Amino acid sequence: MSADTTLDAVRKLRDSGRLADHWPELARLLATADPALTARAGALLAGVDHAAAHRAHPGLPLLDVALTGSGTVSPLATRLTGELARQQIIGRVTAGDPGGYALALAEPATADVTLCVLDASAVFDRVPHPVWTADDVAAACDGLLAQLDAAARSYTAGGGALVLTTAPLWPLWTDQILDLRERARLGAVWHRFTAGLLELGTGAVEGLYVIDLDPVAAATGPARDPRLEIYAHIAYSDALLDALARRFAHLVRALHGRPRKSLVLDLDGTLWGGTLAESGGSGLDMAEGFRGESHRRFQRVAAQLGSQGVLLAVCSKNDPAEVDEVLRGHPDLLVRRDDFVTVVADWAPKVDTVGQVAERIGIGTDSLVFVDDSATETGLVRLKRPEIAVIDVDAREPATHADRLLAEGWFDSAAITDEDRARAGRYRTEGRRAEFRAGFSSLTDYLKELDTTLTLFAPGPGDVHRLAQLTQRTNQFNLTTVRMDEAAVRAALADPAVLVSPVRVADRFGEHGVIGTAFLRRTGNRVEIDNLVMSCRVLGRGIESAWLRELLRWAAAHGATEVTADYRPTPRNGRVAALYPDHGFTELPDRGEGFHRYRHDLTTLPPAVEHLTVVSELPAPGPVPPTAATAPTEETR
Amino acid sequence: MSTTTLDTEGFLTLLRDETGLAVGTGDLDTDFDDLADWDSVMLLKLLTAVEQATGRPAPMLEVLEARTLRAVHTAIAR
Repeated sequence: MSADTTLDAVRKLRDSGRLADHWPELARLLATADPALTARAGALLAGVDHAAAHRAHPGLPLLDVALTGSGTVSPLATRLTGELARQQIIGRVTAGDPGGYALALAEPATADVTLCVLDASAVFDRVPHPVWTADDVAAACDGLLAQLDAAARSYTAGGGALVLTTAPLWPLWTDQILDLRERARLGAVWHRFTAGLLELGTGAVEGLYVIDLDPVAAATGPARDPRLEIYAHIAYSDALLDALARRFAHLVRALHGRPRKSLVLDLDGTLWGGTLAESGGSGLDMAEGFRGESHRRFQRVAAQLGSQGVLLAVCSKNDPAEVDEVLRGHPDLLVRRDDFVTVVADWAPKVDTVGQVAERIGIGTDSLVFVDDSATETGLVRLKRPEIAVIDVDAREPATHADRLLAEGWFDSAAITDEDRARAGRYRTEGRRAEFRAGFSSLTDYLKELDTTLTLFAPGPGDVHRLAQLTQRTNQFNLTTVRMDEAAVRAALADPAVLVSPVRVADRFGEHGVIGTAFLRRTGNRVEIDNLVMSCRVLGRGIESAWLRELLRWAAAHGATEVTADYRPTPRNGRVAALYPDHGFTELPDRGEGFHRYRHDLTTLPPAVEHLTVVSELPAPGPVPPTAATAPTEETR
Repeated sequence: MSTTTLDTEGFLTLLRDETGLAVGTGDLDTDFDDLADWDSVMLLKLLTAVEQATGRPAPMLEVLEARTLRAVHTAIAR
């Protein structure tokens, strides 16, 4: 789509007053837009009714985003508005006063996310004399770092996220020091300051993230314009502000958006150079030469993503047997058959087959990122399957493949857990389970042999990230789709009236890890199930039944006379519509806002699930110190 | 839009596109203090666009010192 067509389409939506109703349309229109075009579209979004957009699309996050910094930050406002819309986020962006960061960070955050853009002036403004030495700069850096550390801690204490940028040092500053060794020392001082800032963002301060501007500036046109610096106190050029806005939107998406799980790769021209059906495996380029080295780099990056929990998959128009042979046997291939959770190879258009990847491994198609060098394939997927993220690579310039793969940060995450890293292994194990299943005449025999154990355990601080992630990632088996961030999970854990009950599952093939969690609330004789979420990869073996039974048993054993629960239908969670009625709950009148309400009177518990072993470490209700959790009780059937 | 010069109409179109302000010929001589929703950062956006459109540096300081849109236009069209 050309720039003019894109802007015309956005303008048309705005002028006809349909922006709020058609908010998701913006992401589609801007999918291939560069940051400059996205910024121009963002300018057209000024004045949109964000609350109305959120009402029309309650599934999209509505976020208050505050901008502050050591210079003028208002030029970032329209850029962020556009970039956030591009990520399906409704962002209400407000820009603070020029240079007002110290004041802005002095009070606890009221915005959901704050971007504080620092530049070198933040340090040099603290140098007391018009002339200075590297020592003066070192002292100013130390002072600023201490101030930012303290400010960030108090600012984020209320729960909002703070994003700081580093402050690149331009030649304008280094070149003022004439002694070359002294000049090197200034560089060292500055890098220590930058390192200190980055350290703050490594988890030292909860809710604080730091964007390193040095590599961004290095990859961006001129990063500064002295005229803008002096006349308007705008520290960075349009190109750098564009790149920063995009990066910030990726970060916000990682914090609040729907995460992507699987990278679906085309083969010919994408994973390797050449055409398998024409040249055979021996004619493919993935080791040496212009093409070979390019594809080798791409494969290494794909493997790197895979090592951090991204599910690698293949969608190729090829003969499946030939593909299998190359994936298993080609000596130069860096990502091999066993690194892929599934391989789809046939001759149908990708738009029809790419969805099979999601189906086979049991995730939603909106978790896929699809890479292909054919504009026809990517164009069709974009048009017909807008929920799938698409990356175009250009087979004529394979050297750019790796950069394109990383450009949109599709798999960036606030934190990657061991659970994430083990995920690919689990999905592969799912394949082995499927083979095992084929050997049994009945499903019951199979389930019995699988020897599944369900453990309801008492969560600790180390589980917070995984529990938040479950509420955010789970779409299908999610009863109320209440998304919780880590702060919300921590609050629930600290609330004596709330019982957070996560579950772990293991079977003869290994651990599935923490696959679900329930949030229960005790009010008098009633237990309310606030939400129940479970990963779909363990569906089909009665785990939800055994779990629900155990929760009801726990409530009854501790004096409750009823358990109530809500189900809020979304386009994705239809499969759990009958969960409560199927387990002996009766329907109550709806409580509005789309919630269906159910009640269990605890007179008859649902039957036990024969082939499952249930281990319950649920504590007695009420305020109990963490050490007072009751000893595990085992109920084996 | 011409790539070398910018007439009043082209200037106003560019201004509307870049800043989202609904300005017309009638606003050319209004002092910025009295121009609704005016913000000096808009001038910088405009200047970047002008530099791209004309392919040469715009006299930023002169433009920033202007008090009306007509003065801005005169400075960049010179």
